[in-house]
Amino acid sequence: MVIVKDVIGGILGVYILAWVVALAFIVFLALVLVVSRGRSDAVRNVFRRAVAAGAPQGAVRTAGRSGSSADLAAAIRDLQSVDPGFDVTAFLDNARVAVGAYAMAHSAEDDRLLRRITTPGFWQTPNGKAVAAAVAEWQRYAGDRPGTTNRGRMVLDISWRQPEVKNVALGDQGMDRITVRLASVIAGAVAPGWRRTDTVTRFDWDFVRPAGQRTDPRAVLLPGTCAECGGPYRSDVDNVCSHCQAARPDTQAGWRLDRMYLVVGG
Amino acid sequence: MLKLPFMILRVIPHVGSILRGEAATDSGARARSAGEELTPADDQAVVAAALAALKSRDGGFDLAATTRGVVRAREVVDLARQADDASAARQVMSDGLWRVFVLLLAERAAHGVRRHGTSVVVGAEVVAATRDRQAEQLRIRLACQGERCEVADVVLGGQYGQQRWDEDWIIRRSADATTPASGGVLSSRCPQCGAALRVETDGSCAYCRALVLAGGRDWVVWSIEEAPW
Repeated sequence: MVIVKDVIGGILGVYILAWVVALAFIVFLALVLVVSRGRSDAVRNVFRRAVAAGAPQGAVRTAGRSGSSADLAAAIRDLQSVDPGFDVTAFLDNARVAVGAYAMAHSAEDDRLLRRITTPGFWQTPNGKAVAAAVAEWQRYAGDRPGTTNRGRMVLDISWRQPEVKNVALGDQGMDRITVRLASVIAGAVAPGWRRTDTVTRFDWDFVRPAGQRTDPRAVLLPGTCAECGGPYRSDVDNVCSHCQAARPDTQAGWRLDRMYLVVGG
Repeated sequence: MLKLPFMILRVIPHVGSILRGEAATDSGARARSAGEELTPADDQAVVAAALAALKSRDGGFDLAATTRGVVRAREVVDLARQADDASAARQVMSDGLWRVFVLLLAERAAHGVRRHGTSVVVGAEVVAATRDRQAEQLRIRLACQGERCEVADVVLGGQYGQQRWDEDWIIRRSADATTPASGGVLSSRCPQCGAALRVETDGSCAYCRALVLAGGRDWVVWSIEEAPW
């Protein structure tokens, strides 16, 4: 009888402890929200720097880390001297497609376009793994039902603000690398009730291509039909031709998204 | 209810990514300037000087015609949104902007989102004019009036009824580009061959096959920013 009472008491104790920890966790998250979304930039920046300091390598970058503008201009000139077809406006325009692809993967859990414009290494980074995990969770739920649209999440708008090239590194480990910093505004909504989930986030986006590659200006053209069978693509997010299943080429003029870092502070 | 504390405890291993996401999400003053409000206008004297310098480099540049072209581009994009037909906007948007527009319209169509209401532009002014070694850019603020409301099963954004709001339309071109004799993209002309602009879905002129919406030859609509709604 005493043993039964002890067991029941133990279970009750564990259960109460679970409640205490869970409530403490909720209070902690509430405090984070108050600090993070409060009006004091100073307090928020302390929080951000603390998070950045504790983040795994390759996930977060603190603002302000970039070379001088003169060095940057010289690096772009160097790039154009070996690749006269390189144009910053066209490059940034392509970077915008990566933002849209990321928004679709992150907020609508459809990663088809993102898969087509990223390097395999992207999916080994903390942010790439986070996107892959979210999409995998949805795919487990969706199974092989026809149509992959997640009816419970949607992207309403995607825009970007103040894009700027922050760094150009040529021939680094056999790759040319350009870093673009921008604020992305992703307006989304989730069911039930289509609650808005808008986020304003700054990322550094690293794009790479093999060193010495030249820009073919026409490579940015978006093919409307499959080169193999001539069949029309139904959507920009299609990875393969729906008629012959041939893989669709990327249209990023050789540049692929390799890494992205959340930018905090600044 | 009995399982609730254990469900909450299952979130704890993800606290790192929650904190990182929260730390990177802008709020307060930065968010308002980065995304929730339009970028503050530059000093008018600075804008006027930049426009004068632009005109001195490019004798064909006509601010009134450029502004009219942007207003016309807005009408084209608005009609494309209303009709859920992205191809209609192909002839004014830069390649990347259009590809994202296509994604958005497909996503909205999949969820049955419709935009209600029409609006007109009642004023326009250049609020920023910048140039560097690579490109030049104009931010044109359009004062709009009308109704804007997005609805699925519920109202997702905006509201029914007449309102006024501002939109920033940013046009950009390469630093070496000059206004084509034909007037160019914003006058619905190919900047390369001067033919009436007919852009294929791949972004090339249907007549001369030149890339017309990459910003290398002429102004293109580079970004569209709306005040929050």
